[in-house]
Amino acid sequence: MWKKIFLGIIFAVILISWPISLIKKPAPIEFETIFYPVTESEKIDFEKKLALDTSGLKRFYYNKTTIYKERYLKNFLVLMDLNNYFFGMHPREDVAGVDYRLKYPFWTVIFLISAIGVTVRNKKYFKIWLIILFEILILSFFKKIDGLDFILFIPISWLLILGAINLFKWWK
Amino acid sequence: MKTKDWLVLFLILGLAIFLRFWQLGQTPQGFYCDEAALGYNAYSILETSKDEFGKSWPVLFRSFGDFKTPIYVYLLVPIYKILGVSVWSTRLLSALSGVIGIWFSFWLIKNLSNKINLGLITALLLAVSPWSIIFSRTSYETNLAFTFLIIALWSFYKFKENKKFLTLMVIMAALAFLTYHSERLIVPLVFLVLFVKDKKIIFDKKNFKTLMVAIIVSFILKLPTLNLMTTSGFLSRLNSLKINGFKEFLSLYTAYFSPRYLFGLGDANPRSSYPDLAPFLFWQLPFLITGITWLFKKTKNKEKDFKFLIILLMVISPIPAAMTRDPFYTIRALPLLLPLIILVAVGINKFLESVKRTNKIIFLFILIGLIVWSVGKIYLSVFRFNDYFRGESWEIGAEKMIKNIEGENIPVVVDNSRGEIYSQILFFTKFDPEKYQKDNFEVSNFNYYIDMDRNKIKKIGNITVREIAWKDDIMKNQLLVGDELSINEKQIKEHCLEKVFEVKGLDNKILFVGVKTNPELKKIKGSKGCF
Repeated sequence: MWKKIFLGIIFAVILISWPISLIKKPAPIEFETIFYPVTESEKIDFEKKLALDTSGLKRFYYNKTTIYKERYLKNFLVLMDLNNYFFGMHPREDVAGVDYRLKYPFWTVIFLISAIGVTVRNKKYFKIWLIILFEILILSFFKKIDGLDFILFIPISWLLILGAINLFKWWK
Repeated sequence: MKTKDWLVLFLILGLAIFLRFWQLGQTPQGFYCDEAALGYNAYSILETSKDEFGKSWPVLFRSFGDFKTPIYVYLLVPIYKILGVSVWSTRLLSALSGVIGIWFSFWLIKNLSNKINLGLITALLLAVSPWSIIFSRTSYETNLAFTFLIIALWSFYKFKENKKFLTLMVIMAALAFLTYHSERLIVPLVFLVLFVKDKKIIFDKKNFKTLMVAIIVSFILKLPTLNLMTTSGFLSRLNSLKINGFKEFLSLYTAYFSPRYLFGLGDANPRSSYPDLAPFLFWQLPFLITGITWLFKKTKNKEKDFKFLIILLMVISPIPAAMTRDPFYTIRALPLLLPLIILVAVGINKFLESVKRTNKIIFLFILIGLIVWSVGKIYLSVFRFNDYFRGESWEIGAEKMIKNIEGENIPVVVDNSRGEIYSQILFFTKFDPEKYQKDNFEVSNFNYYIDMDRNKIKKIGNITVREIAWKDDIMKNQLLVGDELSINEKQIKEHCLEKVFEVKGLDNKILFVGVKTNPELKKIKGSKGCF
């Protein structure tokens, strides 16, 4: 009985934090992709790097695709960041275009670790990680991911709930 | 080991040596004040047996209102005796420890996992690791401490076969403890857990004598430092970096496992990272994830020790760094590199083991291609971009400026409102330590570890390092030196100064300006100046 009440409260907290933060401060949904024109600062930085190496090597690393690759990777890594979900991007809240909203209370990070433990030992859970990865790969194409990243809410919340259940297995 | 394995191992070491030793004295082009302070104190010990403040054989080195650990300085003394004082010889110790660390990492992994391939992959990944390269090419104590820790861990597992290794383990652990602040927490925690886990072997009656010798040796090595643990010197660093509560700690702690930091942002400190180069290379991410998955899976008996060590290092290594307020501070969390790079290696090895023979060859070629690609990227960042983009942080230009003022006949005032330039002046001029100690007093020997008040004015022959006092300084015949903020064009005209030299950075930004005063002309022109 007490276990059910306790877990119920935890599930409620997991399920309401992110939606509440969106209700309190709605995210303007924009579908512009990372293929927007190169900014002046990106251009200057890029040209400096090209000028600094006289060998042909630089073209291999710094070419037309570089700026878009960097933008994509930046988004991808933000979406892979634990601190994005549990600490409002703290301690380095410096990525342009990302809102530092609270998604889950910080202590629920323990449920994610517990969920990783459960899911890697059981192949049937493999799909959930594939769904998360697929969503992250798609989301990374967008210029502003705040708001759009809410599509991760269901799989991540599901993982946290699974982790919480696993963590309190001992409580009969 | 087969001949081909030895060959691969030496090729990897060759690559590691190239990435650590090539242009070691030239890049990073500047010589940061912390490096110069370590170097000059070693020189001072060599010449006078005292540090720059006149303290004989200090246990901790007082430096810029803080304390530096002593091992790096003392190990520099014989190096200076043989090779002389230079930027190259100061960084040599770091570079050497980087290579030795790779050698012992290989043997540690090979012995623990019984897989030569895994050891070789780990060594290769360490050789091309930007996180390892940056601290191998600069004179910070962290890399040396990390190497001592790796040797201590290797000795610990060798000790299970031969009890003689216990003494070596204790000495190495004690040296790691004494070499860098982070290891003062990491070493006791790691070895406490390892000792408890293997208590039956460690505390076996047969080992009693060896254990006693080891404990006594360790105690003797640590005694001087333990003696100072309550003084303000020992605690000053920790006090200055306090964080706010558990949530803050946890956010800083998890950042050390976040792909965003490990593969993207890296360290915000420009001296702890290279431009466009994160601590890990992006292609390693899928292998790290595979490695983490392996870590969570059920363990075979023979893998237990290996997994235990990885988890132990992963859990403990970021603790000291996360206890301080700087986010993702790689210098303090360097021991974390080992378990993470092992996990990447495990991921690669798992992949190699799972594919068929023909596919294995294709995968090996892809892997070699990725390593070549990584070396190219490292080359551009380390040898081409770093000095341009990060030169100012490395205090590029200080050496040139010092050459301009060395041997100057009139008094020289070097402005220190934004830096600790005096340590570079001492280092590059190899100023007589005895004379420097005599001319400069900051603290008595008795209060060396307690009184943190500083004397910001330094007298180095005819060079005085202090803030420029415009009202008085322009009325004396002397050379004033400072950065563009201290001495600008308007001031030059206003005070009728004569520009003697200018030192520019690679981006053409003025770093230092040297001007001669002209008191007679200034008296004539008065407040109108020489516009």
